[in-house]
Amino acid sequence: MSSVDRDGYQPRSLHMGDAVRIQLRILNGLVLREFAAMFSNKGRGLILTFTRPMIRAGLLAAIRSYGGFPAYAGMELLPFIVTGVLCSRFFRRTSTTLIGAAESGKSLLSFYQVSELDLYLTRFIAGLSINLTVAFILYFILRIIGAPPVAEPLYMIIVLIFVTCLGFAVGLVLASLAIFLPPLKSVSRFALRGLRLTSGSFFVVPEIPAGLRDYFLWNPLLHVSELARTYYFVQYNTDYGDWNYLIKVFVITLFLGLILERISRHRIGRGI
Amino acid sequence: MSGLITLDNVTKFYSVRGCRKLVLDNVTISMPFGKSVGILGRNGAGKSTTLMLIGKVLRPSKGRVGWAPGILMSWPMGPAGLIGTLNVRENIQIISRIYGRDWRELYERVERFADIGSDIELPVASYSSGVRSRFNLALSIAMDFDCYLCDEMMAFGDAQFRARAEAEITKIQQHSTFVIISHRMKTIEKFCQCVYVLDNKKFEYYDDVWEGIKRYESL
Repeated sequence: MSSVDRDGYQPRSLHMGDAVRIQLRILNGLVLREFAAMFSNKGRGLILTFTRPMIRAGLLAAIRSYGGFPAYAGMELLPFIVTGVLCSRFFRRTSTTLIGAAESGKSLLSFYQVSELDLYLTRFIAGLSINLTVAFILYFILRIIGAPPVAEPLYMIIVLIFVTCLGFAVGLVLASLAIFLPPLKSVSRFALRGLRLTSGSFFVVPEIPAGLRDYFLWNPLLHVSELARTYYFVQYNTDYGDWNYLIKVFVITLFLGLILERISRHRIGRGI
Repeated sequence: MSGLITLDNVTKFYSVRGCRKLVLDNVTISMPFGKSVGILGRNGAGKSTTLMLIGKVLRPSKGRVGWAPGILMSWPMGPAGLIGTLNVRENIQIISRIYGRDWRELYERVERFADIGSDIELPVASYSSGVRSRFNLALSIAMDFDCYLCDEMMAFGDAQFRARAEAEITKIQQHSTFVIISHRMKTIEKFCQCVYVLDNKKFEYYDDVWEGIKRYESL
């Protein structure tokens, strides 16, 4: 007779600590899978991850310099652009990779321990670690070529983590909505592009015509870019970057995203 | 209701192009402790859906699926669960983390049992369905679950592998149970101690395997 019989059956008790341990174990496994999938093409993905923001920053710096616009308030052009590009890129990358995360990780839902939210969280964790590594390498290169050091590194790291978190919240909303409305996948790319163009990756708020400024400031990414430049440059202190606004936007978006994820999970994988 | 696995007023339907396809209709069953269970039914009756509901890979549209507390349940054995772009070692590394096992030990056991040879370094997607299933079976067996969910587990592999798998399953049955879907009655006879026949979206329970097989053959 099997040991899984009624008389000999000894249920294992699970505690809160076990649940946390199991959750961490699952995320650990899924993040490993995410990295393996990301860099399975013999390092091509890895190289592109680092070179794309460099190329984009170089291009924007060249355009601004060619147009005869040196960076505002005596800031050096290259770190000025790199800071803006990193903020908008981290946001866009995180939010777009979340769209379709549940679809592509469907096979992992064969393990009952893995939930749809775990798949989104995994992309976020992997994205965050890549973003911070990219930022570290780019600022290190800037330092080598003679750019000034980051004035407030700790705050700078906080801003970069925050913009990735914001990307997660927006991505969660879009990914959940896209399950009900598949055309949203392509529409959202345009919407995100609009956010990116007005995110201040190559300008600061005082350079925006006064009549348009209030409209541009609806874009949370512009606040993020302003704060990031304030923490990078000693000579720049923003009057427009607002943490309160950013936190409000983040909390509301995350709350909405979590609700939509809960509703949409019945439509994918396990629900059909 | 108490049992190793319980389905409590479970209804499952799929929405296909706006139409509802009913698979299980308000089913209540309690699978007994200490007995390996066979699930029989015609093609499309909903056996695989039932197995995925039991494995909590699918959610019921209504009702509840429950396991006895603390039971370690396998994933439904089949090609699912494996990541095609990764090789055996990488798949094992990920799955061992999810289940909190030592991947090296699992890898050794899988390598020995599945006997995939030098292909073990290739991405799983490049394997034939037979080899993939061998790997999946080897991995599940290496995990030491309390209950294994098997969908056509003996329909693949050569005679030598099947003999090895049968011997291993017989050994495992001393401490674990199986829920088996198969169209091979020899498999059901050999490994199951009771049978559920799925017909018309409902289950009929047979404590006598022969009776169940006869009912299935009369469908």
